Amino acid sequence: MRWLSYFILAYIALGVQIALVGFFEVRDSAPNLVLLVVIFLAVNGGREPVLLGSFILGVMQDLFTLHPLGTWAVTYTLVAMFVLSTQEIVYREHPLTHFSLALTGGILCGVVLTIHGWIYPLLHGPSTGHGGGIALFTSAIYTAVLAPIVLGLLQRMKRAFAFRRRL
Amino acid sequence: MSQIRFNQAFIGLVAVGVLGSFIIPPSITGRAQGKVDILLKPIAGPVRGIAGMFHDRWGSTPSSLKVSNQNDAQLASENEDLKQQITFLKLKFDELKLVEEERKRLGKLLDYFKPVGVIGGDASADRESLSIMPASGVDLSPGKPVICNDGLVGRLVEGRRVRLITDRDFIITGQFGRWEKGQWISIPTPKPSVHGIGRGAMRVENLTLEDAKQIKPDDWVIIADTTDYPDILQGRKIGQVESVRPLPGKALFAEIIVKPSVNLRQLSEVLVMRK
Repeated sequence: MRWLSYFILAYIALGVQIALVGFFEVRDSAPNLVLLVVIFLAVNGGREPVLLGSFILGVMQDLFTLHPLGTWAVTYTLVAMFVLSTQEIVYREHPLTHFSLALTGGILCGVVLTIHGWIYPLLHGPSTGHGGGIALFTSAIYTAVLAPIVLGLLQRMKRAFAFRRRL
Repeated sequence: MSQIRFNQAFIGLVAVGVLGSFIIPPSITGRAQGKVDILLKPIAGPVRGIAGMFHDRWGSTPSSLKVSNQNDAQLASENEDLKQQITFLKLKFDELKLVEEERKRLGKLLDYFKPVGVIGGDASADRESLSIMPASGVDLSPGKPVICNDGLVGRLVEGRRVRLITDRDFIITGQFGRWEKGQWISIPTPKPSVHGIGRGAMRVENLTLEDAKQIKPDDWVIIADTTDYPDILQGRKIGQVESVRPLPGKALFAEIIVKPSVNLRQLSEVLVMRK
């Protein structure tokens, strides 16, 4: 994977993600554009760069949120592992693939963050706040609806990433 | 790198991630956050500007502020500001009758607060915060309140990040009241504890239905929390009541949903306390 392209994409995705908060919402739910980048990497790339790239993407997202550092890093790693495991059995250009992977990835994020939302206040006190709940699951649906468009566009740019998959 | 070495190194990385997200206290992990938000400004600034433009043209306006044209919008906005000023001044006036030295605190809000630009919102769909631009002469220490023209926005956390009042488990003590014929009427209830519940809303659930029988949609909730908020902010608006109904599972208690007058996540500028 070409890391310069990766960092440019990560920068743009994070910038757009924090910029659109409050403006691009349906029923107070925002899409997760960074998750779509993780799916794009995992559906095309090799195992090692994808796992590392997803973890770094999560760390970068953690820098711009109230969640403790490491939360999205672990979550995106799990999503990347899941998508990598499906790499050989899905048609990676098909919109239905994009929709289903984004929906499953979003639900996986929701489950991890909901569990995190239960455990973290028990360890560090309720005033630390927690996320989770219905917002994550509506966000998963919204992200999945956008996935065929965003991933469709990204798939057209995949040459810039020089993905090399293990045989 | 061999497969085994990568696996070992990666497991180590993920273990550090798990430690950070679950075990390490937020006072430590929070130090790294909110420091680099400014790096995203070149992307977030223009995108937020364009999104705001589209939203102004085609987006929905909060029901309490729905108006027919631009002039009406300005008048409604000024009216809202004036009502807030009057609430604030009335409360201050009552206080001054008792404590004369409080007089000095009756100043313009900008004497105490400085406008600071917003970079963007929270990168997680389930948390509600704003990152703000670096600014000189303002107190960015954690816990300091942040406001806007329409009332309280939230409090600062580590880094230049504002945790919004609508973020889950944000707690503030308030007081209910309403405007009737240009007069501010306080509604006598036990002090409501207003909790953020995410998705741009807050909830009060510590009042019984009997306590809440006078509360109606569109009533105001104002700050009445002298322990955590300075006197200058007492009486400032938190939000307006959207609905009152029996609390599911506790039929004797009321569930009062409160929403800020504006979508706090769309703010382009907030007021931060001066040093």
